Amino acid sequence: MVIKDTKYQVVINTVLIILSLMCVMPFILLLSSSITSETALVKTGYRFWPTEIDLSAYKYLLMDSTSIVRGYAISFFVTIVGTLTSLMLTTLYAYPLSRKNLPGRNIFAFYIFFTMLFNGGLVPGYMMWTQMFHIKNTIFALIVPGLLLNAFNVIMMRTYFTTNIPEEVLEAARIDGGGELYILTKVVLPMSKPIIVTLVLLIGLSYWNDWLNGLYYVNRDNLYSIQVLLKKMMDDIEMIKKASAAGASTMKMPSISIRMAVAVMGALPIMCVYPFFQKYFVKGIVIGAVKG
Amino acid sequence: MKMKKLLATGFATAMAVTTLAGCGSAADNNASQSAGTDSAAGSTQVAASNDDVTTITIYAYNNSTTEAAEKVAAAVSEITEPAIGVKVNLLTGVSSEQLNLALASGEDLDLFFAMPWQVSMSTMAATNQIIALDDLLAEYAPDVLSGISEDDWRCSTVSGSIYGVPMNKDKAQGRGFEMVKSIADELGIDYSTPWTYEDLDANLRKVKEAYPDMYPLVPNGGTMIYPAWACDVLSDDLGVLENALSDSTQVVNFYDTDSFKEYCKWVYQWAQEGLMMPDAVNTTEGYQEFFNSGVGFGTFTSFKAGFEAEETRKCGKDIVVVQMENGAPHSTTSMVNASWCIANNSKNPEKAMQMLNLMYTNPEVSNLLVNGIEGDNWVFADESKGVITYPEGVDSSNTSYSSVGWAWPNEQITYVWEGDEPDVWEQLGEFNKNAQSSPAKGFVWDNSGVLNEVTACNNVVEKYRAGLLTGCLDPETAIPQMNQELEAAGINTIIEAKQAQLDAWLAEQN
Repeated sequence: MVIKDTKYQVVINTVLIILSLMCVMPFILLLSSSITSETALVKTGYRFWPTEIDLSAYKYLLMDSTSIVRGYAISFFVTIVGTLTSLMLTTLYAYPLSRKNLPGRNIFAFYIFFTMLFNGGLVPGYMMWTQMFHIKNTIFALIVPGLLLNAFNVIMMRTYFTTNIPEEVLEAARIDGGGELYILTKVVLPMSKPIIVTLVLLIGLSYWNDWLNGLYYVNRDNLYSIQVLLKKMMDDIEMIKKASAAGASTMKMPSISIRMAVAVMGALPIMCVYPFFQKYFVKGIVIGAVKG
Repeated sequence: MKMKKLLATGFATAMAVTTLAGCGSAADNNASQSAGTDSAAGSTQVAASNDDVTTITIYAYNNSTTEAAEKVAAAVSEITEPAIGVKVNLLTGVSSEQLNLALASGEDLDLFFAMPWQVSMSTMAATNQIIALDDLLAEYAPDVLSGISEDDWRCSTVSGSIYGVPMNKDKAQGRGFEMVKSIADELGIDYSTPWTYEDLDANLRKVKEAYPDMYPLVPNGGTMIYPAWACDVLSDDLGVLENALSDSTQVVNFYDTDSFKEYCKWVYQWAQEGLMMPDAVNTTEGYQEFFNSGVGFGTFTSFKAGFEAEETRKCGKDIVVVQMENGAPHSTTSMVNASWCIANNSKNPEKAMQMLNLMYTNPEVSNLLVNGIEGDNWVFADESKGVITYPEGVDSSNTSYSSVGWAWPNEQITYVWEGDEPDVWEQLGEFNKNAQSSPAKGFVWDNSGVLNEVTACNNVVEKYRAGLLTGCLDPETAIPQMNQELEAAGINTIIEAKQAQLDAWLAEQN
């Protein structure tokens, strides 16, 4: 029995070690190539240990440090405001759906489910947002379209409520004289920390990583989020390489290492936050399974 | 009673709001956009107050900061306002997504660049996103109309009407081989006359012998510039004229031509012998990086007048180019039909055409749009010759307004950058004039009838092309296999349709 156990441990640990290496190694490669000089990259290829350390990619990115700082600020703002608003809307939709006595429950459920399967398409959406709501080149362009309410999140949250909040608890709260809002905020939400944290992470990530809205709805550089800004910078480099009247030699520009540096800059804040969320994340995402 | 009162208040509020919206937006850039959709009252008010000055929105290809774009727009407006009553609103760095959205959604847009690899002129014309320019050109831009050759106009003509003004850039290309000059000179490689594949083969071997660590032939971003001979690809490379320099107008399968097979055979052999960089399909770097770091010696390329100076700057090493035997400068539709168009969204196409006319003919306007503001983005290096350079502390990596001359209507009336020969525009003009036109130049292929086949064939091409062009696949087996798949995907249907269209077009021309 004991032997079997250690065997099991050995096997499972090897598998896990290999799996986590597969996740970590590309990132190490990314980090190392972002601080390698361009010539060394071309000559020797990507290495796990930089052959010739050169920070010119980061220097180029930070050259215009005000726009980088502004980009981060906009991204943080959008992520925080967007996540809070989205979380509120999601909760307010999901909670009533989880209650069996909601009149027209099926209609509301179908209404949100429908958006998972069908949408109006890009151009009609664009026309609606720019011509009816005039959000082009406003901060709302980065918050509202496509991200504010995700049907999948609503359904995930509803499932959590129905499976993890016993009817009896709600009844007890009602007998104690609690109104609906009281029950939601004082009873249900405190019992739902795992799902809330999961959603915060999911929604926050989608806000942080979003650059499509920036691409479609923003063309003023004081509204570029960090992702849009980084994409613009890479475009700039391509443009400079194409530009016929470049004047001076363009070879000083790092282009491969800068791609790596951009990825690092975009991922860095998320990596700093992730560890704090992890324990909830695992708990919350296992929806539907029986939990202790 | 109460109802009436409520209604009245409601109307009053609505009126107040629309009036305010009208006034407020008259001042800012989005004037007609918000006013036009808010209310009829608002938009008439704007039109009245802006009667003498029209705002023309221009979408541009080059990148810049918003601030620099506004500065350039203001400077251009200073010229155009008194001249034609146009105020310019300039948006730079427009991606193809943004352009397509703006065209489809009816957003404020008057003039824009139509790059054949981003948007299709025939589709835009068919869906009414751009307007026919014949009458406008005749009335407001006679110089432009007469200044561009009949041949070139045909390239931006869709079903009998002109839909775009071709950009006055390189309108022809030669096919050749570019290489690092210092090594070529050192090894006594003669690049004064066109090369055959045999010449190239001998020279690549010379380089390999002298520099065993170097790859004499390198790819560009995982593929090769192709074809290495004068071939008219007729918009896409499914069904081409094998030799644009001959009179033949027979449409053939590009991947079944002798030229293609010969090319692939050579590259494959070079790859086998280590003359060509191995695993080229999986390298993302451009040839510039390979040249600069001393990894590579040469690559296939297309060239134009002033090309060597341009490449020398890009690679940071002296570059020379030699023409390949069958790659004499030639001109085809796709080399010319990058154009400036007037969007159907334009509220005042007459003014838009007047503006386009100035962009094409007025050196000051053109120079502002291409090169930006003097002092900020460029300074004179030699004013008498019209040569400019970057100001102190500014270079291509940090300028606020990047200069991409060829993406504007007429780069040939702007100042020349230091490093180019002062007469580069004359040279380019000569080059364009001397290049031989393909017999199908001006023919615009409309693939709407065979879209399914085109998609299927493109998938097959995607699978094999890069591998064959870089010598990673053995042409002996891969080419027959590829053609078999292409036939199954319906390439013959495409060729037939293309031939029919081409014949009809040719008959029309005579």
